[in-house]
Amino acid sequence: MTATRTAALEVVNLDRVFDVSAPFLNRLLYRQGRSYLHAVNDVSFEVPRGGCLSLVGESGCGKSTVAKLVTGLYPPSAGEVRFAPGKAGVPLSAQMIFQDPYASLNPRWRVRNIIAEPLRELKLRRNDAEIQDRVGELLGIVGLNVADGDKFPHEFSGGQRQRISIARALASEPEFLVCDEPTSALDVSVQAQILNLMRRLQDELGLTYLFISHDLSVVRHMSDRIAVMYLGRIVEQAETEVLFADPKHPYTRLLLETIPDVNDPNRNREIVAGEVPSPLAPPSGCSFHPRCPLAQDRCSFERPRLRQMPDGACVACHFA
Amino acid sequence: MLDAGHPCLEVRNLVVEFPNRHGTLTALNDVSLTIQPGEILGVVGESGAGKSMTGAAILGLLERPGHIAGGEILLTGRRIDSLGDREMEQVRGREIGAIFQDPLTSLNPLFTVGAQLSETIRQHIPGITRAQTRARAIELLREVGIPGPTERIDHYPHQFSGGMRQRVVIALALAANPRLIIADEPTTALDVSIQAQITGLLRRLCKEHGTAVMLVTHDMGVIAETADRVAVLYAGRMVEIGPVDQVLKSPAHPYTRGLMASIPALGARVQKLHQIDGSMPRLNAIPAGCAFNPRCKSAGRRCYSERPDLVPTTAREAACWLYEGGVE
Repeated sequence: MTATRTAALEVVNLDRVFDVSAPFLNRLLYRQGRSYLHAVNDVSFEVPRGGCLSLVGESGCGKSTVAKLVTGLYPPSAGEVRFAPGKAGVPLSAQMIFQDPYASLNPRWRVRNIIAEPLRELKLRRNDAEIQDRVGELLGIVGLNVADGDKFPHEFSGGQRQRISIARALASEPEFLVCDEPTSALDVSVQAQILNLMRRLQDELGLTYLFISHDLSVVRHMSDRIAVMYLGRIVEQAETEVLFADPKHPYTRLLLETIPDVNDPNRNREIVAGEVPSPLAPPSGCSFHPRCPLAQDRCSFERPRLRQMPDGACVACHFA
Repeated sequence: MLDAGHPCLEVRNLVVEFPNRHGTLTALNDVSLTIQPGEILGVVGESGAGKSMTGAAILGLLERPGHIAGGEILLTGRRIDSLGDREMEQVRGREIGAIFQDPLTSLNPLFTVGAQLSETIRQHIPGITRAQTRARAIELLREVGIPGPTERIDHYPHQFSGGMRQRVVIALALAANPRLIIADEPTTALDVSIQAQITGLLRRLCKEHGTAVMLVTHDMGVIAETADRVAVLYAGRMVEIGPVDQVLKSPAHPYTRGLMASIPALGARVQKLHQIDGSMPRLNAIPAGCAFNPRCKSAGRRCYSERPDLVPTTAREAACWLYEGGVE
């Protein structure tokens, strides 16, 4: 944790449990108990102001749930989400950019109204003329024309739609943006445009990002610090360069080894066996032990704690 | 490679059109490619570039009103684009296997995996007994690396995980020992650690059986590690084709060059990623001349009027005036 910069967001021992039980009558008839899904389990991290923390992991590891907890779309089951006071003295306001730009924009609204909605809803501008001025300004910031405001979302390509989502997220002048897989639905040539835009906005507007992705090459490009999640828990957290230079948790190593690298393809890579276990019945002890090459008896009953390493990384592994 | 002379698949000047009330959209324009037995050809491009369309045209599964308006498709020297529906059904499955993106929708949730495999096996191997069919199904599941195939054969698709389901789909595609497999985004719905298992499996099967594979994907990393040759599509046209290491390491066409440069590198971090401005034209607004001209930094006068053909440049082919008489 960088001592020089203050934290914009502190997440402390965050837990979220979902009740995924069968309906009451089914439980009664088939004598089933309730079942719970521990989607996020004891997750703690800090995002430094003006920085970018990324959460990475495979599907079902709980990264999107963390995003929804941070933005308040889900209430936490336990733990705390603390935003530091922003410029105005009130806690920072967070906005969110979603993965699918086809699903996150209302197809019946003109782009102008989509972007103006937060301004109207939060009463940030006094009259319609001011709102339209601000919308024009926002369209300019994300690289669209003012005239594009009169169009409907279907007239835009995926990349342009994601620009509209970003403009909408910026409308309320947030200082904190939660980006949930913002480029996964885009093509590579367009992905670069959006990533460059996000980096530029971060510098110009002093934004802080919580970035969620499964793509490590994108994460490496965007973030200062990376937290790797596995089955609802953070297994390793480190500065970006430290994580890539010296991954300590066997799961992080697996992730880094399995990403196909265009510049340095490895055709004879050793294929790691095994799959992510069901989060409904996570393995005992260290949840990674059934797939881990280093696993010993101890791992199957004793859960490793997150420990701080000399280089600042935090790792949850008995053998790191 | 077979020395019989015929490549496994040969596509010559394929044109696919979609007529609608405003005119005709050309989804694929003059696409030619060949795949040798035992070879993996990667087909890459952005969404809408026509990569899945190429696969659908070869399989004879174009959605109406789309149709093949020109060119020919030859499977080991025999034309298959002019076959009737009934004959094409025999070709699909027996000679060409297909693997689609989402393993959950390619399997019938109401039948066990064994029943679905058996149906395909019986369909294509006439006169096979019930016991032989089951033995073959178990052997196929074992071959694609599903642990405990004798028990798993009686399970339903929902009892398998995503990666295992995709293996079942691959087993289905292999059931009749096809010469060619068309794999349309086979790893896109899977997690990275599973993705590597599936591409490894495809490569192994391809080498062991001499099956040719057409691997359609948007993921350059998958191509780099799986394919032998790669074809790059842009707005329904092929812009570059060649051996994978050459095309990815030193791309010739400006589009391929931009595409490769815009991928964030794992090795080092840069301040700003290279970006190709704009986006791919829609099919109803493809510019005259080279389709890439509005986004191309090296475009000259000639690029706006004349369409470049694929020309050989050192072991690969690129469709760009830079390699044929200059852009002016």
